[in-house]
Amino acid sequence: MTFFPGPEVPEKGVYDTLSAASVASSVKFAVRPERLASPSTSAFVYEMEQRGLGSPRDLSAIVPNLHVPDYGSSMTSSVYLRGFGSRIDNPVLGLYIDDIPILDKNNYDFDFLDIRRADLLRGPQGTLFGRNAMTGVLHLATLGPSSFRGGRASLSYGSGRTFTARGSWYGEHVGVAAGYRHTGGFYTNTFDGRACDPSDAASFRLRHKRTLPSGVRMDQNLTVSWLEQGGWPYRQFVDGELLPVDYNDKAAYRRVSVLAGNKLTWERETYTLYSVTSLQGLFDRMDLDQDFTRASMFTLTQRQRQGALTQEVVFKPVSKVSWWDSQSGVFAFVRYNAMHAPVDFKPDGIRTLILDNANAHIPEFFGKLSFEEEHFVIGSDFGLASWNAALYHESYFTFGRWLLTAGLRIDHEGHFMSYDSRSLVHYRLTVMPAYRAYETVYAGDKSNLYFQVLPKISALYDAGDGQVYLTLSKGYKAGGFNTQIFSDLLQNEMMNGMMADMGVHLDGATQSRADNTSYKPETSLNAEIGGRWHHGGFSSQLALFYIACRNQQITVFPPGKSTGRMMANAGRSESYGAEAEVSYVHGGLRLDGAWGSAHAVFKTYSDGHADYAGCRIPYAPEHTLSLRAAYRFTFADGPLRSLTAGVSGSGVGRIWWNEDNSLSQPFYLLAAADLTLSFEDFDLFVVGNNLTDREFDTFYFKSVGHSFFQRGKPRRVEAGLRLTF
Amino acid sequence: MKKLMLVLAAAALLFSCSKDPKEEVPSGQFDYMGTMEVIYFDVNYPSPETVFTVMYDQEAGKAELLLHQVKFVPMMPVTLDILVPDITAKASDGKVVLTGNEIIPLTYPARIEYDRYMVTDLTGTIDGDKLTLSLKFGDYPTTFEGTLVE
Repeated sequence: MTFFPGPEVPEKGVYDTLSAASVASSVKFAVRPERLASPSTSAFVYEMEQRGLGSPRDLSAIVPNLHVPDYGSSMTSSVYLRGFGSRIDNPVLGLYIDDIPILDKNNYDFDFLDIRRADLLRGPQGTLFGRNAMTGVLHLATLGPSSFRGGRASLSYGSGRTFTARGSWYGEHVGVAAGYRHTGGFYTNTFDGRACDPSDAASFRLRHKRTLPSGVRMDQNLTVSWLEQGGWPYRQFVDGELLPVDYNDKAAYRRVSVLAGNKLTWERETYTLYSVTSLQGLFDRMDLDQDFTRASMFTLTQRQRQGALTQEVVFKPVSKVSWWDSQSGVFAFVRYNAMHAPVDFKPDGIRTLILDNANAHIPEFFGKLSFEEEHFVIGSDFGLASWNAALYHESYFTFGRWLLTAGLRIDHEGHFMSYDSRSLVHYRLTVMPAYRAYETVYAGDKSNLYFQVLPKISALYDAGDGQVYLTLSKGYKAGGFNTQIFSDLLQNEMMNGMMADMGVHLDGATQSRADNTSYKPETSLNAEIGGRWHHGGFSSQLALFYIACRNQQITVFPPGKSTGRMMANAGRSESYGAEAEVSYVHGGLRLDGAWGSAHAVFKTYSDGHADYAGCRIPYAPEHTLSLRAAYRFTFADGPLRSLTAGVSGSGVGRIWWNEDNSLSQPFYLLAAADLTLSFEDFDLFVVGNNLTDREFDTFYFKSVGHSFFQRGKPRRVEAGLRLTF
Repeated sequence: MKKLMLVLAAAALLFSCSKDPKEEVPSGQFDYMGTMEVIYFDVNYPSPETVFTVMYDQEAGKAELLLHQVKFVPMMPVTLDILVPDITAKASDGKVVLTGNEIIPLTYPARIEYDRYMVTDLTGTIDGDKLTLSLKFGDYPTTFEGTLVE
């Protein structure tokens, strides 16, 4: 990995004028990476393919303090960076592909297809990148006609019956790429003896770049991807024993994503103007056995139909003075999501989650409550609209070796939710002569508006071989609505309503309130000091940071035997830590190391049942570590041109699994290795991960009073062929 | 003589006033808010701001009484909506006289019978904007005095 362009490893077969010129890939990266007052980690196509880095989660630990755990399904896409993160709804890391912001976190887990370079800037990037870039932004640039000519193809086969095929071709103006991956699965569901995590994924990309007669440069991108998979290999944890994966109902995820982008560039004598427009579509369906046991309790089917339009305009004047440069921009989006999310309560769930709870409180006179139905559905339909409009500006002042940056973003965001949740049951108490129909309806709408002012100031001193910098900035993660809690809300309304139907009102019965379904934006203030130094083949980067977070959003499970998760604003939290990266290149030898440490705790957080002040923030690792040694042997004679062998280790931990820190995963290290034999027109490669078959837990949660873990993937080996033509 | 005439005139005036008939209570539904008192094991438990609804059918001479979310004693873990049906309601001189005995109350709106709380010795009146009631729910004497809620 290259964290700033010093003496770079050449990108085999890919001519990248941008990386060679040390200008990163986004139109908003106004200065070269080595002059950014933020730590950044960059990776290029050849290295990523050599090491088998095939998705954003594979950057975990390689980027200090970044942890993207592999659990659940591709819908999960939880990202943790510098002690903060999110399991549902909005992420803490912004994701851009070819300058297009990816709005929905459900699209964050995907297979890399001809990714030319990846740049991850750490620290709040909200001034330029806005919402959800609270701890950083990952920008991916794809191969295109201007950076590559010719064709590429690869085939591979590996553990878990994983087969991958990719192919692409790039001409003067047009490029096409397609990829397919099939996985038979790594986990077995003992209920039926079948793999619970098979997966098929395919993607297609069309790039079109042309300079129009008017001189306007046009860059168009159409990406369509399809995914169908199982997942959720959760194992119940009982009395200190981890049971096998064993659940009876369907668990599957299917997703179709469409991304269409159009970037226009007007380059004039006195200014450059960029316009980036995108249309984004997400169509997915999740089926979930929500209790993850053999019992027939309850299942969720969630379907989303989402469309979004984004527009950004960036204006960069050509400065008339040598000491000042700037960029200004306008950003806006509108998005609508039609979500259909019924929960089907089955016999065991009706008994344990509803009737047992109810009968514990019903006065003895009435006898016992029962339902005529063996299963019933709580239907939930949502219309979720969101919009955003922002203005921003950054100025860059150069005085000798000093670069001072000042920026400001004014960001407005609005959310609207219409909800309609209902159920129909036939209930009877012992004293009643017959079952009586009762329909529960919980419907309405809610809206929220938010304003954010995101300032940033930084000072960087460039000493030639090194730089030191200080940055103060603010970031935020958007708020939203707790759609997952509506099943619990309707159950509450149903029980209260049935009792009221009988003329009985339980003391302490709470009324469901739509206000409880909202969560506010999370904001952070970040102070950071860091530096870079390179000399010859040695490069290093060090950063110390402090983040104060208000209204942190954390995922909580409602108390007792409840069915949904919900987001809560936790009060105040903080994270401080350090990050270090080193790289040494000498001849064919390359050594890389990256270490991150984050001490992230709640300052004030009480959920009404317990006080978690001083406890570690769950799911974010205390440390990340990545080490790699590689050597490239070159041969002057014979068909074999070079042989590159690398060994790697990546580790994370300790990870605390819950707010009271009673459960945790200690630090663990996973070994990997890769071998590439390069011939004139093709490469043969082998990549191995978790070579010691280390057992570790990648996720923990509770559902209906039961604890579950997911074990990490076992040893995996993949071998294949890459062509360039 | 003059004095006699004055006395006769006053008597005539008084007589004519006493002969004006009072307005009868019409059929309808009337909410009364007031204090319900329950004697439970010789202890009086008052519940202020209790709402009783009277559903009165003048033609049939019948009424129903709906008690809204009542808690007879603080120790009850619930409040109840109770309907007392089949009350005899007799219009008399501008008032309505309520009587009833051995009436099984019902949950409302499901109308499940509360056998154990049979209503006995129910007496009461609607007089102007006032409702007064006295009854026994099972073994527990209960009274209510309330004012019409407009």
